Amino acid sequence: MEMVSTAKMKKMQGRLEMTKPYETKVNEILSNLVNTGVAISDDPHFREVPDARRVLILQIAGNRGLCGSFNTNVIENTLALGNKLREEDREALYYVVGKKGTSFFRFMQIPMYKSMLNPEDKLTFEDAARIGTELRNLFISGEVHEVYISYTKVKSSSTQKPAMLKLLPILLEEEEIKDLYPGAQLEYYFEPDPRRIFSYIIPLYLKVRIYTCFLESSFSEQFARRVAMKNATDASTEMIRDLTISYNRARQAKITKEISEIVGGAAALK
Amino acid sequence: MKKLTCSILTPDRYLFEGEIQFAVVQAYNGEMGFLVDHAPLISELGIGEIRLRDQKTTEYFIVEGGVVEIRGNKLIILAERAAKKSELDKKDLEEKLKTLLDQKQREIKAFSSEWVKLQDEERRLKARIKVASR
Repeated sequence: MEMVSTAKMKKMQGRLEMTKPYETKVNEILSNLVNTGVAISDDPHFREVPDARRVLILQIAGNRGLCGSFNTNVIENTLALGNKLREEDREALYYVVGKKGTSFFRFMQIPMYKSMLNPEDKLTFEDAARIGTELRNLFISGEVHEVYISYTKVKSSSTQKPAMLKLLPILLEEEEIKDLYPGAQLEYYFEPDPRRIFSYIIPLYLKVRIYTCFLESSFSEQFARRVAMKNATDASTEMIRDLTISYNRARQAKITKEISEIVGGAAALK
Repeated sequence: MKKLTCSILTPDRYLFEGEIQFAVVQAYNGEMGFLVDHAPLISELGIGEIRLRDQKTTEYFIVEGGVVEIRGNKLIILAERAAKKSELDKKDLEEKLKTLLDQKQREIKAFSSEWVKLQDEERRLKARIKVASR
């Protein structure tokens, strides 16, 4: 199983590497657009609801266990936010992805807004796009006021951490953008007009965001499983060694005893 | 001679990366050409072909929606869906188009949501066939 996970992990890593440049480019274009001074304040995706009562949390967990604390970490992180929201007297809706997540919520009898299986390595961009559109519609129609994603972030190929990401309303850290583009006042031509490109790229941005969250989670799951399985293999190798030693010891003791009995018997006959 | 650095990206993969002399992309309502030292521009893409010319060779791609950005001789094509010409099978596509048109004929209700979907699919297939027969 360690080998299987390693192979799956490598595959996921490959996909993640393919997607990363796309994500960076979308972010880049979006921030370039913002920097050209298109009025974003009137775009519904950026509108902060002053009294955000209903908050949707999309939780991405795995379908299967045997992967250490991967699932529990994500669930814990989600519930931490959920409890915090409840203390603030706000309603948290859970959109749960992954069989393990679903069964936990069912066991704890926490109502779920919606649940689905994790598509794992069958995940396509269309799946992410569908979820993206769904969440966007919920947000735009005002049914929910904020959307978070609880997933496992890949910090580097060896460290992953459960993370919480605010998907909607979209926040762009302006200082960060300015650091990246000192000459941000660059003039762009837009074809058609900036507004239309803007309204096109935002849904794309959301979809890509969700897609990468899914990929990162899957990668982390496989990584966690690999580590868990490696530990299991190591522990069992150790155990086998100990058991073999004690087995041999017992066998040797028995043989010695028998020999001494025979020798003793023969000596008594003389 | 100066060249454009061009990359075509889709959410799943890196389709193309390299230096070219001249690029034509399908913008939202017509084709758009890019040469070296083009002014910074961002445009929406439509459904259609991309031609990348370098000296004597031309490469063909199909894109279905996305955005294109050019800045400082770097051309970035972010496509929603894209494929190389070599990945398209003309015969297969033509058959698909045929069954689709048949279906469209039978579903006479024009401008219904189903019809619009088929219309869209037809456009995509036609664009693919065009690229495949290059």
